[in-house]
Amino acid sequence: MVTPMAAGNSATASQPILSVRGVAKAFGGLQVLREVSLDVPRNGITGLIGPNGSGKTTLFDVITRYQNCDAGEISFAGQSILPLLPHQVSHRGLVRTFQLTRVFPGLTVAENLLVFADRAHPRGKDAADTRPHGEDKAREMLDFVGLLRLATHEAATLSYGQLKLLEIAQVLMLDPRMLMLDEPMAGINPGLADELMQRLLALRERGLTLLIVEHNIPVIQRLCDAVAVLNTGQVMAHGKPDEVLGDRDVREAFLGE
Amino acid sequence: MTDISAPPTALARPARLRGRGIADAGPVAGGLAALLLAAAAALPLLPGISFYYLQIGILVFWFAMLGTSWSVAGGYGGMHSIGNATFVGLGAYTSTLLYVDFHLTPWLGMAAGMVVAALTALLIGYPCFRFGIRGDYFALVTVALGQVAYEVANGATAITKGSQGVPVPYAATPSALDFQFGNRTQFYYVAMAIWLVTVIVAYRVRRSHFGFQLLAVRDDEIAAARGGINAPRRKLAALALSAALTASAGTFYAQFILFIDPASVFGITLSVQIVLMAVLGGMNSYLGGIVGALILVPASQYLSTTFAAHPGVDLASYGVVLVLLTIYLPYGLLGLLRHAPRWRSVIGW
Repeated sequence: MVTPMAAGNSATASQPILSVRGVAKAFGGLQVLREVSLDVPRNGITGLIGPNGSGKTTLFDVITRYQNCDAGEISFAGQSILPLLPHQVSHRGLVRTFQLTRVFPGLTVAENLLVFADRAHPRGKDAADTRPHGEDKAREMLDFVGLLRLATHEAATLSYGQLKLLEIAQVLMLDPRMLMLDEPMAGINPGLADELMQRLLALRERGLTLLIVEHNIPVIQRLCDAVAVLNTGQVMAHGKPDEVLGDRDVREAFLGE
Repeated sequence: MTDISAPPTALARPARLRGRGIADAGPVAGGLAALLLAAAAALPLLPGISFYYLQIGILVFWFAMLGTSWSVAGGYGGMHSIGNATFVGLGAYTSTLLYVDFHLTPWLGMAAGMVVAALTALLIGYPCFRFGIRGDYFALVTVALGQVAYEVANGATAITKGSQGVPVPYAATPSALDFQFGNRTQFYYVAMAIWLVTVIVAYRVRRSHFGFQLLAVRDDEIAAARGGINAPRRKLAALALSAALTASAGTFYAQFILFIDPASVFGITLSVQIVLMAVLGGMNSYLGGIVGALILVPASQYLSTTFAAHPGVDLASYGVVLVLLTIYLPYGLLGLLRHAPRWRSVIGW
């Protein structure tokens, strides 16, 4: 199997993998998103920052179809995903984590990954395909997040930080083309956060596209190729991290300076 | 797809990530289980065993079937139905009416009843799952379903004879084709066989990828959808299967008692008893039904004979047991084993 980057011709490679156009969403009288437009380029890490309540999680929910939007268009890999249901979005290769971790508490740690074993590199006809399948992949992911020794424990017994790691292992098990992470570093100890960042950078090298909501500025600076700032339901800035984070309006809105 | 995994590395293999099911029981526990089954099979052969005890044995198997069938939707899929008597009644009435009116063998009637029950489950389940009715609200819907089914069975006298009930006519000579047997011993083995089939189906479902996904849906539908699982579809399939299995027990009941009326097969008491079997035994396990039935059926027989002068005491005790269970033993007896990886795998938690 080849990566989309290697397979795609230059025309598709230059197109954004995710394109959000004029998306609006209101909850009752509260206009959470107003005309949000955002392009996420293939094979890179885009940061999404903004003050609390600026609409970041709602934007995630709308993109992954857990919420309907009132107006606008969203396309992934050149096709509209608005007609899809959340599980269909997942099958297109667009996968997200949740700010409040979501895993399966009644299953064991290992089962939380094994339930998606069918999606971890389905065994193809290519005999040369040596990537880990099913259980091997689950083992590798658990080892990566340091949960292998807890593999047979019920997920309900894990701490918050461990649940966070389990969720990340779970989404990686799904073999996504694009991963949307909602505050992945929150509640994870510094050493592990550092390791996670290295892993995310390695994933990008392998052709994965990431969109990350994060409040930690050093994390954004280290990881991201581009940053978009969401404020009061609109994208107020979008560009290279240093430029965006140096912008006076951004610093005022986001950092309170 | 993008390759996002690191190159294969030599990893320590601390343990199997997933249990092997009953194969994990080992020779001792496995042998013990086989011995118990053999003992159950030998029970009718005990010299001088009374009618009464065989009857209790049959009822244990019957309630165990119902408890395990309930678990397929309730335990695996988190759909806590308090209306499963509906499916018992549909099974009992479908086969009985087909037998009485069209002389169709109750075995085919059983299959027809299973289809009717499964379709009813789909009819109720579809709008529920489409519009996100789950948890307590789903339980309430099933209570309502049970009441509606009961009233319809009572009211549609042209078809069901209403509260008079329907006697199943004796075959001139008892024959297996008529689902009628000369003695209780044969009924005992039929009950045991149907129970075994139910348990095997429930076990196979639990071990299947579908069963695995169902547990995920039970725990978190949103996370399941994130992983590409179509939650409503999994729930519908489980509910239909659970209803069909339950309906087969309904046919058995009709042929065993040879009389059905709305109160006995559509009543809410039965619905509550079914839940109790599964909850006491451990609703997540395919064995919860038999564990619950082994305790509750003899207990209720004892209570109802001891307090024969005070009708209702045995039923009131069900309520007390349910309250105590939810407080002190929410995962049931088998749930006590759930933190031991080996037993967790054996009981299919």
